[in-house]
Order: sequence, then structure tokens, then C-alpha cells
Amino acid sequence: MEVLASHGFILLALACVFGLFMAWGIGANDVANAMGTSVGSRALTLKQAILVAAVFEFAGAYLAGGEVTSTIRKGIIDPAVLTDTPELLVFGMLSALLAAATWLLIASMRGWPVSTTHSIVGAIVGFAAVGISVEAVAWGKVGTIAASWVVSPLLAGSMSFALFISVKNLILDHENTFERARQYVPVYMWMVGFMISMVTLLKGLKHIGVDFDLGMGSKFTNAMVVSAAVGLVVAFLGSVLLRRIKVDGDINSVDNVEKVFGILMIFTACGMAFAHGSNDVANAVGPVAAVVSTVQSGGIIGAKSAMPWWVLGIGAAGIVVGLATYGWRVIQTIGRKITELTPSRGFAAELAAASTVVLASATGLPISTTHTLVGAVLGVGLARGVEALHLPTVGAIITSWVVTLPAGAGLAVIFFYVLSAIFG
Amino acid sequence: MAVKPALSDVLSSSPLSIMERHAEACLSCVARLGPYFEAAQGGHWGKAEKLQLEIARLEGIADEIKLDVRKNLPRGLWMSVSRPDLLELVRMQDKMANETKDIAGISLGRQLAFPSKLEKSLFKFIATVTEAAEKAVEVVSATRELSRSAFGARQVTVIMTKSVTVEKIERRSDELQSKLRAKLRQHEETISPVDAIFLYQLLTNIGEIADHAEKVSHRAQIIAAS
Repeated sequence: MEVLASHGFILLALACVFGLFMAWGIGANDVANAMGTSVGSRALTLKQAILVAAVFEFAGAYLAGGEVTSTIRKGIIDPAVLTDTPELLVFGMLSALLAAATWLLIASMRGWPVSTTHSIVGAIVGFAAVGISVEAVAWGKVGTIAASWVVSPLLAGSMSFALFISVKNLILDHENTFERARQYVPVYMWMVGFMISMVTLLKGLKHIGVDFDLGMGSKFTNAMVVSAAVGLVVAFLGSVLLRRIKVDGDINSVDNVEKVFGILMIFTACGMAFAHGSNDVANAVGPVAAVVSTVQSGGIIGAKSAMPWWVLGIGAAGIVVGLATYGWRVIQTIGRKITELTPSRGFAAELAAASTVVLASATGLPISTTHTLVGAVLGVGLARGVEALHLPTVGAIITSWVVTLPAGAGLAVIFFYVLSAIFG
Repeated sequence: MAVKPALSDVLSSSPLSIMERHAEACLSCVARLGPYFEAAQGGHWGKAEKLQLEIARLEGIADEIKLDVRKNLPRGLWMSVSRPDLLELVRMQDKMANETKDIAGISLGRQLAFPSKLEKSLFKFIATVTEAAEKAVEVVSATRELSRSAFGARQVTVIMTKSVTVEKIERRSDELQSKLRAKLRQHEETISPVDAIFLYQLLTNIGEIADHAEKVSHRAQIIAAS
């Protein structure tokens, strides 16, 4: 208890620095997988991609990042076990941040495709189980999270499969491909607008103090109506853009049709960046929020006080800085490599992945955006949309996520003992 | 900091586009056969030698691409088309180039030209064979296009139609070959027996280019229908 009073400021400052570092890492590394698809299919230029990512990552983090943040902050650890020793939670969260960031740095240098989400969850579970006690971990919740890591790529894969099959049946298999594309693509745009609007209305508005009620009965139906309208606005905007496409040669040639999907991909890229922000910012911000609320409330864990929203701001800013300083180069690298995913495929993968991630964000499940996107790409491949997929890489991804859990946990335990020794 | 973006490694480069490149390289080889025999029939052996070297060089390029294809089709690749079909396709395409190189080699090595009375039919025969190869490569390109439009029914029809054209041309080349053989027989008295044997051999080999072209288009058709 005294530790929190005497070293409160240092602990807070450390939390902010570690959190920023982690957010920087997410912006530098993770965002690239979300945005690279759009750059690779030439739907967006590098500059446009960075702009879209900056705006929508921030919006996603700030408007829809709350649920996952609260899971990381107080869902994985059982607060009841720690009421007498709140300083352990603070040390633990700090060491979890440091462990995850260190592991990500090591993995990035070695070129392993690891997930930020898995690192931070592994680290938190690690310090809690080993450093405190096995009962300190809310195993039920951890089980749900682990299950969601398996379910999310499968769900995204099924969705992208269905989306791409629908594109094939509605558009690609017909004589007047271009006209049909221009007819149906706004429907997919509507989906993007609807999805972002739904999660913002249901999860985001309450903390910026906006309250709305159309008198539709439940909050959900209210949101449905407004989101459907927002979707229509988005679709209208999209169809205006679609009318401005310049076609060369045969109007139904693959190149001209891909231009239509290229416009659609601008929208799905926004959705992807929003989804990524809403889920992954929590990896950096969740532990910081835990430290901040514990220190500020003078050691009351899981205090009823609302989550300090400026913390989400720190995470969002960190992501944008990471993107601006380093992430753009990674986007460029990916963009150059994944030209195989043309807009008609890329959009299906992005829309499926973004929907899955946003759904997880709304239910407070921290999942890996990259893995979800890989699942979605495999789904498109299953619908024969991609010529060749390299399965050993999929194996490497699975291996790396199995390895990441004990690695993050081990590092967190070490840092936990070090921090306890210094401050305790 | 070296970053390994997981996503870009999952997507492998498209095998069908390399296939198309290989087909085009083989075609550029076959397309030199006409000019070669024009030089040979005119007795310009210097020029013929240059063309033969050119053919050999192009065949080498095709070989390199073929190896590239084989290297780029590891077992862990999950493809929308079957791996054995692709390997068979590239083998057939390569045979068109190999055959061309052999023909130019045999003719140049013995400075062997056809009797001048056969020239007109010979050029027509070679033009027909070259056309078969051209059309076969078009089928391969259409298969690539088919994959871009995700194996839609519309593109499959295009391929079937193109494939029928290749068959027709191949049949025409067979007819031209048997006529040439008959004519050559009438000139047997005027040429040395060894030369005659090799001339028949050349006719067979030229005809085989069209056979390979037909097999290429059949294999592409199988890929399209799969």
C-alpha cells in the first residue's frame, strides 16, 4: 500500500512509457498487416493508406476500444484475490507490458510472425499464475479468450468464403460484369458503414457523453436504425465515386471490373483500420489503465471509477506515431509483396476480417487481427479466389502463437520479480 | 529491425502467370522456325546459323523459366489448380521449344534444305504449325484470365472455343504433312538416301510441334474445367 503512495508517480510514468512503447510497436508492425492488403492491390497509395490508418485506427481505438481494454485491465485477473496487495497488480501489469514489448522486439528481429495480443495475454496470465497464485487467474475468461483465437480465423474464413462466392455468383460469372459490379458493390459498402456505425453506437458513444434515443424500444434497435441510415450514406458516397471510374478498352475486362472493387477496397480499408484500432489498442492500453486506476484510487482494485479515457488517447497516439515513424515502411514492403490479392479478393478478406474483429471488440475479446486476416485470406483461397497459398507459413503462424504464450509468460515472471525487488 | 509480415508470406506468387511467361518464351522459339527455313531454303547458311543460335538461346530462356516453375511449386503450396496438371502443362510447353531447337539443329548440321519444288507447301506447313502454337499459348493466357475471374462459367466457354481451334489447326497441319511426304517421295530420286531420311525426319518433327501445341491446349482445358 505504501509503495503506491510513495512511488505512485514513478509507477504511473513507467506505465505510460511502457504503454507508449507497446503502442508504438503495434503501429510500427501490426498495422502493416491490416493496411498492406489495400496497398498491395493498389486500391490505396502508400500516403493514402497511412492517412486512412491514422484516422481510423485512432477512431477505432477511441470509440470502440473500451471493451477489450477492460478485459485486459480486469478480466484476466481475478481482482478479489488481490484486494490486500494492490501493488502486485501494478508490478504485474508493468512487467506484462515490458515482457510483451520485449518479446515482440525479439520476434520481429528474428522474423517470427507473432501476435501482440497473444504476447500480452500470455504475459498477464504468466505473472498472475506464477508471481501471485494460480487462483489469481480468471481461467474461465482465459479459456474463452483462447477459444476465440481459434474461432476468429475460422469465422473470418467462412465469411470471406461466403463474400467471395457471392461476388462470383452476383458479378464475375455474368456477361455484363462491369455494370453488375457497379450495381452490387454499394451493398458491400453499406455493410462496412453499418458495421462501424453499430459498434460505435453500441460501445463508443457512452464515454464521449453522447446519448441518443429514437424511442425504438431497446438500445440495439435504435442503433440498428441509425446504422442502416449511416450505411446508406456510405453506399451513396461510394456510388458517386463509382460513377467517376474511367474505363479503358473492353468495359467488362478484368482490369476495369477490378477498378470498381478498388473503390470498394478504400471503404473496407477504413473498416479494417477501425477494427484493428478497436481491438489492438487494448494490448497497450489495458495494462496502463489497470495501473492508472489502481494508483489513482489509492489501491482499490477494480474500483468503480470509470476507466480514464485519456489512456485510450495515449494508445491511439502511440499507434499513429509508430505508423508514421516505422510502420509505413512495413506497409510498403507488404504492399509490394501481395499484389496477388486483387481488389475483388482483397475486399472480401478485409471485410470478413474487419467484421470478425469488430465483433470481438464489441464483446471484449482480445483477438489477433493478423491471424483473423490470414484466416480470411485462406477463406478466399478456398473459394478459388487466390492461385497459391503457402501453407508452411500458416504452420509457422500457428507454431509462433503456441510459442508466444510461454515466452511472454516467462519474461513477465522475470520482470515481475525484478520490479518487486526494486520497489517492494 | 527485420519484420516478417505474416500476411505477405501466406500469399505465394501466382503459378499461372509464370506458366504464361514460359508459354510465351516457347512460342518465341517456334516463331523463329519460319525465318530459319526461309534462310535455309535460300541457301543463306550464315543467316540460318544466326537464327539457329537465336532459337537455342530462346530455348535456354524457356528452360530457365521451366526450372523456376518447378522451384516455385513446393509441396506446401495450396493452389486453386492441381500441381500435377501445372507440371504437365509446363512439360508440354517446353517440348514445343525443344522440338524447334532439334529441327533447326538437324537441318543446320547437315546443311539440309528441302527440294525447291516443296518450298511453298513447306512454308505453309510451318506457318500452320506456328499458328497452332500461337493459339495454344492463347489458351494458356485465357486460363490465367480465367483464374483472375475466379473460374467463372463465361471464361470456361472462351477456353473451350479456343481449344477447338487448336485441334482444327492441328488436323490441318497433319493433312499438310502427309501431302508434303507424298511430294517428297516423288523427289526421292534426286536426293541422296541419307538426306531423304533426314528430310522425312524433319517433317515428322515439325508436325510434332503442332501435336505438342494440341496437348498444351488440352492440359490447359483440364485445368480450366477442374
